[in-house]
Amino acid sequence: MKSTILTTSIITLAIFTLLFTQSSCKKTTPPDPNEEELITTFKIIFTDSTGIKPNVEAIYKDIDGDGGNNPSVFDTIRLQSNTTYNATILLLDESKTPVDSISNEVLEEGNEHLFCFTPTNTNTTIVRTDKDINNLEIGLRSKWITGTASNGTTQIVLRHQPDNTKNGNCNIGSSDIDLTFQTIIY
Amino acid sequence: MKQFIICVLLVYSCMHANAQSNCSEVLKGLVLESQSGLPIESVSVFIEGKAIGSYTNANGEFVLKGICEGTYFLISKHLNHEIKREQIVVTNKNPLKTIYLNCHTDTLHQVMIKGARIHWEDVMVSNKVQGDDLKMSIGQSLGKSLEKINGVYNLSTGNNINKPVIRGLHSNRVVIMNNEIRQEGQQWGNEHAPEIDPNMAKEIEVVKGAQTIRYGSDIIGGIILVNPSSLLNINKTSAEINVAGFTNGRGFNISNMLEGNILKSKNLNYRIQASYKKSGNTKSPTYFLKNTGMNEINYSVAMGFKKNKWNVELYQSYFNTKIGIFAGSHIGNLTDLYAAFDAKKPIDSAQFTYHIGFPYQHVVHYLAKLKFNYFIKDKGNLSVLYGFQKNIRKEYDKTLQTKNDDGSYKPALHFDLYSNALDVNFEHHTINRFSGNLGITSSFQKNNYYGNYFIPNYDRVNTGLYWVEKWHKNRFSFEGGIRYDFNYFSVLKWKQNILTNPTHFYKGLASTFSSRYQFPYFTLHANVGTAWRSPFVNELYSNGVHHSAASFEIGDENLVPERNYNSSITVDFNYKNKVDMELTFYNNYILNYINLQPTLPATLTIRGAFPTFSFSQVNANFSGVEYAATFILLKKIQNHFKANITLAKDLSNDKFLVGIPPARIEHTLEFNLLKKKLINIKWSLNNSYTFQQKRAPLHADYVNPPKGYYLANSDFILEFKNVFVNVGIQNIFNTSYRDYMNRNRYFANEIGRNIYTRLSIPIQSKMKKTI
Repeated sequence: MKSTILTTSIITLAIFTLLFTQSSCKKTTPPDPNEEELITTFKIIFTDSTGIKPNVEAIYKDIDGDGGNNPSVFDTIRLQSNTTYNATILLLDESKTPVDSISNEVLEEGNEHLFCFTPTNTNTTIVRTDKDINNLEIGLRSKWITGTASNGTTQIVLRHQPDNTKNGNCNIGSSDIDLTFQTIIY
Repeated sequence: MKQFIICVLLVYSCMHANAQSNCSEVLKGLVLESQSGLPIESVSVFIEGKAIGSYTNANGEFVLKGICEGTYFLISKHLNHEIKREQIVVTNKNPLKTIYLNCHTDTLHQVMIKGARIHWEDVMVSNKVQGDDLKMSIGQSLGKSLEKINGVYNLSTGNNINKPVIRGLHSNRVVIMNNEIRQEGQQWGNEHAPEIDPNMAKEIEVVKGAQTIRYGSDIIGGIILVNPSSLLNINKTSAEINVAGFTNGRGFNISNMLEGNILKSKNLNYRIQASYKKSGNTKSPTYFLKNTGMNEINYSVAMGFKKNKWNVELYQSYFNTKIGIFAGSHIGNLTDLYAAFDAKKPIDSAQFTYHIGFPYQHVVHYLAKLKFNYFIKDKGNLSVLYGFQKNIRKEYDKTLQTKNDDGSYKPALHFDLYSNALDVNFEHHTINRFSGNLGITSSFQKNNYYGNYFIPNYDRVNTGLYWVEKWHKNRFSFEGGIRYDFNYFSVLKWKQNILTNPTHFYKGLASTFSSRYQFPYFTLHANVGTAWRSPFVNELYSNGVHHSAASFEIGDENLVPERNYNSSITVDFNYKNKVDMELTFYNNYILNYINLQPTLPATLTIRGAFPTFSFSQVNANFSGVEYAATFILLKKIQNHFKANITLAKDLSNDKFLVGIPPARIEHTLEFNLLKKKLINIKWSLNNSYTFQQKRAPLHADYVNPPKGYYLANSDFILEFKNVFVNVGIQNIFNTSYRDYMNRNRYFANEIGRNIYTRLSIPIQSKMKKTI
């Protein structure tokens, strides 16, 4: 009995060794980096809630992802004073054709994601206006209420809060996006 | 295996014994105890098969007269020591013969520096973890079990990922031999622990510094040899059951072994060993550490067959581990890192669970070995060894980028590494007091990645030629070795949408010299050596965000090999088995030491700005002192003391280096409560203090090294016949502390109090042992 087991194990070992040696001889091309999913572009579109003032767009774009070439576009957010804007965030992977919209995935996993907005030195109030399945805010859509003219920055962070940890609090989880836009209210 | 050597030697001696001529030769000699180097009185020394014999005097000296010229076996017998039989050649001019006797194993432990004292019978100075020390490691990782050795630390990621650090060096600078095969995993990574189950080992040996080049030219930091017991001298069926349980993490470990003869043949043996380990979330003194569970399943199957002149060994092992990465250490960017560090306790709270969530590592390591030994009459022993390894490493992360369309997650990092090794070694018989090895090692390695880019696909070919000789006369031994290696890399990677195939070729010479001199009561060892290491693909080509370190790492394809010049002196002192001390000074100068240096500007990504680190070369120096001692107090109390310090410096920039282990002192009181023939009870109390690392560079780390910490542990050991029981407690006072060498020090405290129990039961068949 014992010897049968052992004979079998020897044969298995011999076969395995042969198989692995075989498989290790193939020349393998590394995965095409273009197939890697990236968030190359962050776009925020502002529309005046009264429809009078022109729409505003601010973009951050880094087509080759982390490192390599520097971001090609990093706009300043320019908003008119004393206006209420509806803002929509779009996340894109523009290294692919067709362009892949990653904001859809964030929306699908809304209960695991939260956008956090931190204005500094600008007279802006930002309120998230969309909700996930647990009735907690997401932030893909938000309302920006500008005050008097001012200059500063706005930090926009996308927090990833998996495993039912999301409770509306910004300090949970890790950052998938962290961009600080120069902001001018005029 | 010994039997074969003896067999071969017997034939050899028979041939020469006939050549009798002059029968009035004199052989003078000295018998010393190998443990202490002290002379042994009343040893019976005689020539096998002849009526010639004598006893040693108080100085361990003996004289044998009236011997005919020829080759004989000299037998040395003493009550408290193992019998020794060795071949001698008697001529008309015989040098002083020195014989070393080993203590019987049961008296071996009487006075021993706790936790693997240096093994100084060899020219090389090495430390071994074996016997009780190894039994007290059941359930621990390989790295943790090596912490018993003075000067060995662990570069950890949480509690379950431990990488041994020898004299401040680790990863690619430390070579691990897994049952004679050079372990090939993704060892370049700081959070990639060696894929070895320590349960299969009979002993684990650590050789610090460049003392040996037999196994490679790139042993800059040191070498770890993990050895199972020999397959060839199994005489009967026996089994071993090892069980361990831990309160912190509610972990357990089961490891069983079965060995015996196949078809009742003493020539055909087998061994099967398997182990299973599981642990849930561990707990720091005040909170649970989320997602710190792990489970591991390993097995090995081995077979040996021996004939008079040759033997063959087959071995295969499988290692499979899934390790949760502490959730609080998973950070997106530098802001997260600072927030995590500033938090008194991790923001993400947890309860106890065995469930392993994201992020986690899943690593499978498969190893197969085929070794063939052939004894060439009068010449020596030729061995051919083939090793195959497959390492599959997958690191999972729950991010937008790793989500598959079906909702499952693909690994963020996925590497498949195949390694083949073929070694041919010839060990020649002693010629004019010289004994030695010469051989060729070669390896072929292939790496493929499937997840995100971190290191490229590559093929690596390595060939080395070595020659090591030992020389021994009276109290003096000498060992010298020389080695030449070629190293070729063929890399396949994308560069701006073009597939490129850069190649690298490195070659160099390594060499070591060691000597040992035995004085009464003490032994002096001195060693000098130089080794070199080619830059590895991560140092040449890494390019990306290292998430657990919140840094952007950039390789440099123009790096040149680093070379070290290592020297060390060890003094070992033993006085009448009452005092045992060892003191080592070492210096390791590394030319072109490859180091991650902070570089400006920071790298801007959509996740924020990351500090940039690039691989560059500096000249560095590592020096240090290691001291260990044992004193006997009141017969039944042993007093063990250990201390070590490593001083490292970047000489090119006159700066300190990051990640050098801080100094540590340790004291253990061991009480022999009961010592009878069948039963042995011991209780020990261990106190250690790890200092704060003050020699850390400014602005190269996010936060200052953590404060020094004091820990108290206690162990109770009961040995009845061969059954071993250990009950112990780690971190008795449930101290909250952080360790500089743990990458989780930014985020959380180390684990708190842990009570454990270990049981080891050997089962022997009733068949009588025949020799």
